[in-house]
Amino acid sequence: METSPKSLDPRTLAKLGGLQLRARRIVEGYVAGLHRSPHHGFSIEFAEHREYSPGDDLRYLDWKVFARTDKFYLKQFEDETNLVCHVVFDASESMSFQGPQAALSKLDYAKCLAASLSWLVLKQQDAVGLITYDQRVRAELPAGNTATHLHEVIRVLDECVAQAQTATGVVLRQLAQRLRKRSVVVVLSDLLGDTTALLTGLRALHRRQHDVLVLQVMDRAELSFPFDRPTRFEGLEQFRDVVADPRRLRTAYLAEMERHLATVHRGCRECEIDYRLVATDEPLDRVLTSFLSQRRTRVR
Amino acid sequence: MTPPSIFSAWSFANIGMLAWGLAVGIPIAIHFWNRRTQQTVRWAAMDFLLTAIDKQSRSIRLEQWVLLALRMSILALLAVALADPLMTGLSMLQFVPDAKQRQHTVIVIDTSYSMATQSGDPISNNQTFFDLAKSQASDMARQNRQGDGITLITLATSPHAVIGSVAFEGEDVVREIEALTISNQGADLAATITEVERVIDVTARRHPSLEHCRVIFFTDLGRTTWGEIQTQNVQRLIAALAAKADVMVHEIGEPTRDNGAIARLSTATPLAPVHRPATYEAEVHNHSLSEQRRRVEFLVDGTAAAQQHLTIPAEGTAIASFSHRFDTPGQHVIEARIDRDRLLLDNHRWLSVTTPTSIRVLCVAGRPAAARFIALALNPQATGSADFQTDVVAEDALLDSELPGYDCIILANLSRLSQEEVQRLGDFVRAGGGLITVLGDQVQADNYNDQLTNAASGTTLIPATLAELVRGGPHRLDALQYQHSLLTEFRGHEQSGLLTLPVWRYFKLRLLPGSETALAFANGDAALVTRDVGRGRCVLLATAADADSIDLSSDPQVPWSALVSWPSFPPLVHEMVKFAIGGRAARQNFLVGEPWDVAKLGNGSEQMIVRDPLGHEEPTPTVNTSPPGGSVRRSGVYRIEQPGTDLPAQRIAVNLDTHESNLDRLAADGLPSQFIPEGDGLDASRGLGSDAQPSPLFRVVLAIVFLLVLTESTFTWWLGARSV
Repeated sequence: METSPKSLDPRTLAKLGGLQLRARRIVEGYVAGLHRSPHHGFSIEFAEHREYSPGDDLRYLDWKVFARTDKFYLKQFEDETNLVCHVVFDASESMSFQGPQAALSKLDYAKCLAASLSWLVLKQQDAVGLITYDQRVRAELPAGNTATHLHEVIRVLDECVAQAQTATGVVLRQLAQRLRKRSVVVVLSDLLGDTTALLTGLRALHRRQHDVLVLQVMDRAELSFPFDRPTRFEGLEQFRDVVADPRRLRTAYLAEMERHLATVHRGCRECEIDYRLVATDEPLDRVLTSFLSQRRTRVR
Repeated sequence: MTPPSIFSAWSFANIGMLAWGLAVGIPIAIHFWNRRTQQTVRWAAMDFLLTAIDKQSRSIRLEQWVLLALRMSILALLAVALADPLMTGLSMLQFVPDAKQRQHTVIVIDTSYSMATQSGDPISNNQTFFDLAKSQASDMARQNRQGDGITLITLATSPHAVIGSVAFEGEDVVREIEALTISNQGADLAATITEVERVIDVTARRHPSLEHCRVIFFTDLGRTTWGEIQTQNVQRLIAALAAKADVMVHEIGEPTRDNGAIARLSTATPLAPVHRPATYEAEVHNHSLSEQRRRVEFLVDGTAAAQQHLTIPAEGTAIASFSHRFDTPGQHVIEARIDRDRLLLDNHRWLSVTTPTSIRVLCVAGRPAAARFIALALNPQATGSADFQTDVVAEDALLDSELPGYDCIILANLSRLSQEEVQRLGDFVRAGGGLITVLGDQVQADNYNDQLTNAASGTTLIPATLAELVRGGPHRLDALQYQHSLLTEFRGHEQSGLLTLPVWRYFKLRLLPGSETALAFANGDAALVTRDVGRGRCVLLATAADADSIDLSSDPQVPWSALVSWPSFPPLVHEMVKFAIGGRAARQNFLVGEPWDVAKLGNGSEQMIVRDPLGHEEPTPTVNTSPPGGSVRRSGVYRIEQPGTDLPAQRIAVNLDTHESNLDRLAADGLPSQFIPEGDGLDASRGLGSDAQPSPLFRVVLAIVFLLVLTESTFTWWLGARSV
């Protein structure tokens, strides 16, 4: 894997003032990285044909190919060049957590990711929409592909404040019902909360033929629990405060965390949902690169 | 008796160190400090954290309690170890009062001279049993609990309450203990127990808050002292004492019988004149259970004169002797000593002797032949080389005679004495001369009673007043079991004729206070009486010692006695003279503890300096002191100087009564049941105090601390490893 430019390190990005500036830096870095990379662009530029599978709309069957090869392929090229991407952004209070070693809070990091993805989608002339939520949908920006739409996306993200409890599963179920048109749904969240409801929501999106991508944004401290001194843990999202000796709890906590991550991961895999765990100390271009290349590989 | 308290089984050598126990608060303080200095983190993944806490909380709490307990225990035990904990022994639980009850401890320290026995190896270890007793009693006193009282009494011939009024400060008691010196005598157990009981009674009245009392004897359990315990009197005293206090015995030192002692140093001729050899005998007693070979060394005036090796059977005696002739008249000191053993005190003995040029006797005759037989008895050959040189003078020549040139004056049937004569005789006797008064038919009893027992002049030159003349007879003599030293030579010689001597006339004598009867008549009347006057001695014979004293008033006429013709006459006269002039010699040799009438030695002088064997000046009683004198306390040679007179310094030999030299012990289990013996676990010194050495308990506590530290470290490591 290539070494990320220093400018894309979260610590560097944290010094940049606005989200737009951060997103530009990320995308530019990402694009610059493409010149050195064998990968090609956004993964939605996949092959022209896709093998038929039962349930596919026969209207898109490419008869010419069938005539030549005696195999059923769907013509997808035209359709997917008009891709609609919805970024579902978790703005619950837990996203405001920022570990002692982290340069950005999970919220800020996720904002950078969301802005960068939006930028990339729009650069390919596709439409991108933004839904922010906590217990319910807080803001919704319909998909658009105009040049000014990115400003809207960034504005909504900028205005987004972490508050209230989260109910990702409920929101995803609601979205599954509301999003009629098949689209790419990118979920940016720490996925803390009711895992069962979350997986139910993801399955609902999957059943609606949405192409779901899950980026679970976690702080490194949440993954490693690095505290040594007695600590008062002030609970976000209305959890009570707890005083504990982290050294005594580390093993049990990490086991719980591991179990949760494994459950989410397994649930996504079962629904063929692309999943990646993102730590907020990872360079964003690397995240984008690895995630998109992983996705490209899988789609092919 | 109060119920036992488990805490009373403990004591601490350095109780102040327990203050370090406050350090147990440190882990708690650290715990609270950690809580104060804890970091605060806003946390998102609370769900997982709470689940982890739920799962771990019980074990975490348990671990934390265990850790806290471990750390506090380490600090607490460390403080205990610093305080040098001591366990008094479980038997102490049976009689020690509970912690709240104040107690009175009577420390009784044996000061009999057997306690001067050296402990262990006599060469490398100079500590005596007495030193050990003082050290252990001091340790006990130092551990005195606040509010408890201590009294201190010596177990001695004359027991002394050194601290008779309760002391509450241990250090005060320690000072008194350290100032104690060993006596040169044995000990009187009954008297000591009586004194202890008296002190307990006084303390109980003055300090009723001291509810509990115990008596602890620090003693070697020497049989010479403790053998008395079998007597009914002592058992009764102990029973009475045990009713008031717990009585304990702390046996000092190790049993040993390894001791030899010079039990006697004497001479058969205490007044051997100059150039006349005299034989001196040292009787050495071997108290050990095996035959011993001892070297006896004789010193004359500090110079080695002879030595002799003796083989002495087990528990037997042997006599070493040597002959010596003094070439200069005056006072001399003979010393005998034996090789070093574990008890040094009885390895020396001294004898102070006076060597006259010759014993000069002045016989004053009431009639020309009155002293003839006496002079003849003293110097039969009438030669100048005899031990006794006699001069016979008539009654009226007494005033003309140079009395200080004589050692003894014999008044033989003098009719009467003038005041001037009495005055001169008084000076003579007080200066150490001997005066023998022999009665007879010429004696005017009233004159004698007036002049010679004149209390107004302060001069008493006869031991008794003369009463009526006793007739009848013949009256026989009673030697009174030869108890009087004047009759020492007659012991074992019942055939000497002393008891068969017929007496038909004698003056009934009424003894003056202080006089002693040497011979009596069979009817109980005194026949020969003696009295000390100043440095001299007076002897009074109730009948006549001449052939001319005849009772003319009776019919038929009878002589006063057949004394002059009787075989016991010469030795009796010799012994009378020796006794009379032996006042000086007898007053030159004492046993420790014997009454010491220093005032009498002073010839009336009030200026006297008494120096003990170490050369220290001692307080001197004067003639005006009542009672005059005291008793000597140390064996050795004392010097009595009289700065105001021309008299040379007297050297007084003071020796031990060597009964205490027998180091045989009473077995602790031979003590009456009222005593709590050491064999049952009592260790009085440990009971309250500490050993000079670190106690085993101290090491045990440190070992526990060490184990706890290891446990804490391992436990912490295990917890850390588990939480990684």
